Amino acid sequence: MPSSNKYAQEFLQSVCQQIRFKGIHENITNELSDHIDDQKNEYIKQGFDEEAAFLKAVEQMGDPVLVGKQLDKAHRPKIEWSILSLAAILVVAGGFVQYFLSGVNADNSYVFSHFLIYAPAGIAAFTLIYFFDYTLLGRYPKVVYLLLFTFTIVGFLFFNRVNGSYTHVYYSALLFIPAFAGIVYDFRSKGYLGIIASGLFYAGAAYICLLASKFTGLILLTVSCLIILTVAIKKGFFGSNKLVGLAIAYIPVIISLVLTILTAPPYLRNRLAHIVNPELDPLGSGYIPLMVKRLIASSQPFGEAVLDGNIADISIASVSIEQLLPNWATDFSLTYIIARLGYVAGLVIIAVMLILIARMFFSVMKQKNAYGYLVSLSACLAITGQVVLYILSNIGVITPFSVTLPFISFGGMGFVVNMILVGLLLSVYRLTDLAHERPQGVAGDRRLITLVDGKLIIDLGMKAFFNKHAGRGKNN
Amino acid sequence: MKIDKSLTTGSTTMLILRLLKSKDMYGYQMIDELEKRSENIFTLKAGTLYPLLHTLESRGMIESYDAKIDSVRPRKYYRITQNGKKLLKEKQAEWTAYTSAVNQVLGGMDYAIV
Repeated sequence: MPSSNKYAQEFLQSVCQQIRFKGIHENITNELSDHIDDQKNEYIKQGFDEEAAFLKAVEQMGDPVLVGKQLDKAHRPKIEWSILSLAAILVVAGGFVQYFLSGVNADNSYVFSHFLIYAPAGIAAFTLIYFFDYTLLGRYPKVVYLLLFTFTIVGFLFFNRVNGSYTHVYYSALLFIPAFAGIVYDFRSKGYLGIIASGLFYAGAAYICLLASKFTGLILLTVSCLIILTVAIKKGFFGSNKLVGLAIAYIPVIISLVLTILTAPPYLRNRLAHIVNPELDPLGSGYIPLMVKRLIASSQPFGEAVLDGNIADISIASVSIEQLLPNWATDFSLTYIIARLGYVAGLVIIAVMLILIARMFFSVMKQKNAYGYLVSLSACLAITGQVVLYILSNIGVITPFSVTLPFISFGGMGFVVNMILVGLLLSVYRLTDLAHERPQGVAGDRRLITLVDGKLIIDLGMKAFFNKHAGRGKNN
Repeated sequence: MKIDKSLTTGSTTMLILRLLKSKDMYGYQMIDELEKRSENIFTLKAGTLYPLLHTLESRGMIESYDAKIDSVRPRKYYRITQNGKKLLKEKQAEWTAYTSAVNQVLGGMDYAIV
């Protein structure tokens, strides 16, 4: 707690004036004023009065400007060069891919010029987020959430359904993941109600995905949020019993999953059956997954895939890949690259992606505080989820979803959103030192049900929940 | 006895790491402990200690966490990491080499003192 004494305050202020990284000020102020207090108490024990004891204690600290300058040196922002350069490599690779795709035929010649417009926009978004104080998301997570919510709802007026769903909701869903991490952080130490409240915020975002029929967004959002919540509960951020906490998180998810499957209308069941087994309708809904499998199976290490056989009495070899594979330049650009340039080119892209993911998870592990951990984990999950779905659908393992391959596949919105996500992750890393939180007053093992004097007490942690600002900010 | 400051600064890192090897401590405790163990020869200023602690932390030699252990209020405690233990070993080896060299020279000139 910052000291109220004027000598101490003057000292702390002039120390902090030297430290350019503002995020660390509170942390340093707390630590140094604790020290001054200890020293002061020691002098009081020796017989000094409080005023003199403070003065002597502050003198003991040394020259504030010099101390501040040295602390400033210790807290230079950190740069995660490996993630930054991997992302840069992927952006450049994305440029090559779009250049290649634009040269395939005249209909597609616009893609590279579009890339040249959206790439700088994405880089600008990255830079903005990178230098942005990411703790803002921790201080105002509900504002961020509501802004995103409003933007998405307003988007329904301006965007049209494409193939039955609203595309912009997919990108919102990706951004809802870090917003959810902020919400979870906000409800930390709020016990079981904190978990339930976080769940409600997730449900709001999930409901939008349902309204927009954006199931890929829903899947990415749900899996990521569930992982974030699980990690938060496991690490004891909510200050509740971990098993009960996990039950609160998982039981509703399992129930809704079961209910959805049981009450699914016939058309949805039919669709699911086709997703699981594309052979049911080889020329209809199963056409693309089967074609992807076929192209992958006949791909060569270098050069064009060698196709044979017929589709509906037409010899495949007489038709170009672009004609065989719809959305070859967007949803299936990886399949297309493998079929046209060979699987070595595809594997190189996949390898770089996987290294990037590994490096990102590694940077998450390095985070020391709950906030940095949750936010960087969320950005990491949002990117990883897309990569996994895109690669699996592009190599024919799962029935294709319409997803984006971060940094590589065509599309301005996807590019900008992914640059925001990686910017957020690196910004967290940059400010790793900001890592300090005082322990929360209510942390610890809280029991949901206790029996006292024959009374059954169910403690949902209401007190902690409504005592919103206790244990936060400067005065804890 | 006051000791020339230039003699202690280089070895402060080593002393701090050695203290943290025995147990986790907060800043004030380190200064206190150092004075006790050195019989008041090392009076480390807080202004020297904290920048050093923060630098060591950003280099991954030590880690910090908040806890209430010896005191009523939560304190920022430091603990040594594996890398820190390695660094301590190196520093100790350097120090031993240095002091034995100094002693050799001093020992060889015993007559000068008398």
